[in-house]
Amino acid sequence: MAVAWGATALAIGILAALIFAIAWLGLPHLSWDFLTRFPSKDAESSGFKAALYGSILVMFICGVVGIPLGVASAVLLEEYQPKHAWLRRLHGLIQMNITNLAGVPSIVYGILGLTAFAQMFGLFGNPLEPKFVIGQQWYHRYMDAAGKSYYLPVSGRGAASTPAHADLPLRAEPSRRAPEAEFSVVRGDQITPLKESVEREIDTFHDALSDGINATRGPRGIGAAAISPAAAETIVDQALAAASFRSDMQKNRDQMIAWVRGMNGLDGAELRAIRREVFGLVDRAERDRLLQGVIVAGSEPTLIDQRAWYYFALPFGRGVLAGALTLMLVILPIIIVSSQEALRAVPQSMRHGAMALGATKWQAIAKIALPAAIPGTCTGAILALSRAIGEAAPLLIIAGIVFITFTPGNLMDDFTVMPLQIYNWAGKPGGEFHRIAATGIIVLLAVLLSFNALAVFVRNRFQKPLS
Amino acid sequence: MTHPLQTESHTAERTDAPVALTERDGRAPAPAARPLGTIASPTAPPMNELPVSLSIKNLSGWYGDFKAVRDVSLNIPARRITALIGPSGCGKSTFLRWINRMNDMIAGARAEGVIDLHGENLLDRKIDAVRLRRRIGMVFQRPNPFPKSIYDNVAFGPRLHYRLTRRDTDALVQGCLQRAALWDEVKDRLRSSALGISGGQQQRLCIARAIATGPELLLMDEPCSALDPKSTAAIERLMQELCEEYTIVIVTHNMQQAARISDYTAFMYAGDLVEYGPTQKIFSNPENKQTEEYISGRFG
Repeated sequence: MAVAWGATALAIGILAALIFAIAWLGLPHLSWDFLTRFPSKDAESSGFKAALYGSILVMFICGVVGIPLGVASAVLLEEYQPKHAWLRRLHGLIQMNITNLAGVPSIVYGILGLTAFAQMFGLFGNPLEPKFVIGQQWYHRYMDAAGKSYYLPVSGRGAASTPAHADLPLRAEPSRRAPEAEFSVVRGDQITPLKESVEREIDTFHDALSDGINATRGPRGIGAAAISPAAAETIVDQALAAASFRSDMQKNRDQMIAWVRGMNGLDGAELRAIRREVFGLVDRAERDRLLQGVIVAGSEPTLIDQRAWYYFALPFGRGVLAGALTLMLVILPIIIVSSQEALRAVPQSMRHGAMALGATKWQAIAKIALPAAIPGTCTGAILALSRAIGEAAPLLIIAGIVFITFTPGNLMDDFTVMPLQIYNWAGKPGGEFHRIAATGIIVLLAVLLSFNALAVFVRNRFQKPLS
Repeated sequence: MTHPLQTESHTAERTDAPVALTERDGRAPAPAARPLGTIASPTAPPMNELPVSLSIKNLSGWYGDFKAVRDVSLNIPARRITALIGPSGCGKSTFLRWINRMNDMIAGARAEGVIDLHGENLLDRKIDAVRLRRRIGMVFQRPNPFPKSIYDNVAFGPRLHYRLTRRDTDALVQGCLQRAALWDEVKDRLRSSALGISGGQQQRLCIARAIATGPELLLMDEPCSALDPKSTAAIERLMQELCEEYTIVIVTHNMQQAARISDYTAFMYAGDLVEYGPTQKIFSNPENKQTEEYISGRFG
C-alpha cells in the first residue's frame, strides 16, 4: 500500500516538475506573435507558424485519408468474415498482424513511407524529376533593361531551348508574378545608346526644373523670394514639357508641385535634398518606364517553374502528402482496431432486425451498424490523431530538419511539423532557442489536450447503450 | 395464381371465401373482426379446410453436421395463429428462421425440402432472400429497436424499398403504429429515441416496424419471453388483432400462451414434428403420448 502510494506520488511529482519547468521556460514567450511568425535565425523573432500550419495540414490529410480507410478495413474485417476455412485462417492472420502493427516503432513506418510514398519504389523515377506532374507551369524568365522580370509560359519542359523572343513583339502571359506586358527586343549593341538617350531625357528635365526654380528664386540665392503655387505649377509643367516625357506623370506632377512650393525658405543643404527627392522620383519612374519591356536580343532566359495549389506529382517526394500518408500508416492500425471494437459493440440483433426487414447485408451495415458505431469510431480516430500529432520520428525521415519559413502551398511542398520544429530548436546551442522550444511544447500540449478533450466529449455525449 | 392446396378449402369457417393469394396485394379482404381479447376459437376447423399460406414439405435443416430439423411437413393456414412449441433445442426456432431464410447468414447452415409460398419454393437458390424478407416479417425474442427515433424505426423498411414522400411516410408510420396499438402512447415523441421506451413498447414497435413493409406472414420468435405479464398481454391482444390480416407463426416456450392465442399448434421434439393440429385438440386430447407428457409438464 505504502509502496503504491509512494510510486504514485513520485510519478506525479516528476510529471509536475516537468510541466513546471516547461511552463517556466516557455510561458514568457507565448504570444500571438509566436503563433503567427515564421522561424528565424534569431530566437527572439522566431515563430511557430510554419510548424503549426504544417501540423494542421498533415493532421487534416491524415484524417481525411486514414479514417475512411480504417473504417472500411474495420467493416471488411468485422462484418464480412469469410466462411471458407483457408480464408478464415488468412483473416485471422491479417487480424493478428493489424493488432501487432499498432505496436511497431514509428520510425519503421518512416522508412516504409520513404520508400512507398516519397520514392514510390522508383516506379515513377526520381522525386526530383517526377514522371507524372499536374499543376506545374514552366516559364522563361527574361530580365528587361529596367531590371524587371518577365515570364513567358513554356509548353513542355524540353522547350527550354526555343528562342522565345524570335518574333516581335512578344506578349507575356499574365501571371501572378508579372503583369501583362509587351516586349520590345533590341540588339545587344543598341542597349547602351538606348540607356544613354533615356539618361539625356532625364537630364533635360532636371535642367529645366532647376532653371525654373532658380529663375523664380532670383539669382541672389537662397530664401530671397517665395514661390507662389501658380509659379510652382508653371515650373513643373514647363520642365515636363521640355523633356517631352511620354509617361503619364499626373500623379507625380502634383507631388512635384508640392515639393517645389515647399522649397520656399529652405537653405542650401535642405534644398539640395529636396531636389534630389524630386529629381529621383522622376528618375526612377521614367527610367523604368522607358526601359521597361526592352529585352536584349540573345540574352539567355532562365527556366523557372511555378506550382499551382493543386500541384501533384508522382512520386510524391518529401512533401506534405508523403509525410501525412506515412503518419496515416502509423495510426491506421489504431483506427482499424477501435472501429472494429465499435462495430462489435453494436448487437448482432440490430443487423438481424434490419435484414429481417429486407435490408441487404450492406444496407444493414451502412444504415444501422455503422451509424451506431460512429461515436466509438470517432473517439478512436481522435485519439489516433492525437498520437500522430506528437510523432516526430517518421516525419524526421520524410521531411528531415529543414529551415521552413513558409506554409505549404501544395501537397508536394516542403513542410515541418510541431515536434520537428521543437526538436530543431531544442538541438540548437543557446538558451534562447531552448526557451522557445519550451513555448512550442506548450502549444503542442495545448493542441494535444484539446484533441483528447474532444474525444472525451464525443464519448460522453454520443455513446449510449445500444440495447 | 391459385395455390394448388387451396382448392380443398371451400368449407372454411370464416366468412371470406378463400381467394387466391396472389403475389402481394391480392390478399383476401379482411374477415370480420374477432372480438378483442377472446380466446382463439375452440372449434377451429380442420386444417385441410383452410386456405393455406405456407406449405412445408419434408424440410430438413442442418447446422454443419448437426441435423436440427428432421423431415418436417406441415401446412400453415392463412390468417391464423400457428404456435410452435417444444423443449429448448428442438429445432422450432431454426424451423422459423428457414422460412425467411435468416439462416442464410449462418455459416454451415443448409436445408433440404420445400417451403412453398404461392407455388415458389423459398429454399430455392434463385429466390432473392432480401426480397423474400419484405414479404415475411420477423419479430425477435428480445426487442431490438434500432438506435434511431421511433419514427425512423418504423420508416426504416419502407424507405429501403420504396421512394416515399414525406407525407406518405408520415401516414404509413401512423398507420403501422396504430395497428401495433402503440400510436396513442408514442404519438407525442415520434422523434425521440426508440431506446427510451419500455420493453413492451419496444416489442410492439418492432411489430409495427415489421408490418410496415407490408408482409403477408409474420414470424415471431418467442416475442414475449423478455417481457412482463402486462406487456405480454398487450402483445397477445395485438397478435389476435393482426391475425385478421396476417398469417402469424409464433414460437413459444409458454404453453399457456400457445393455448391462449393460437388456432393451431405444432409440437416439435428433437427436430421432429411430433404432432400438429388445432390447439384445442392438442391441449385437450393429444394423440401422441410424448405431446401429452410435454403439455402436462412431465418433461421439457
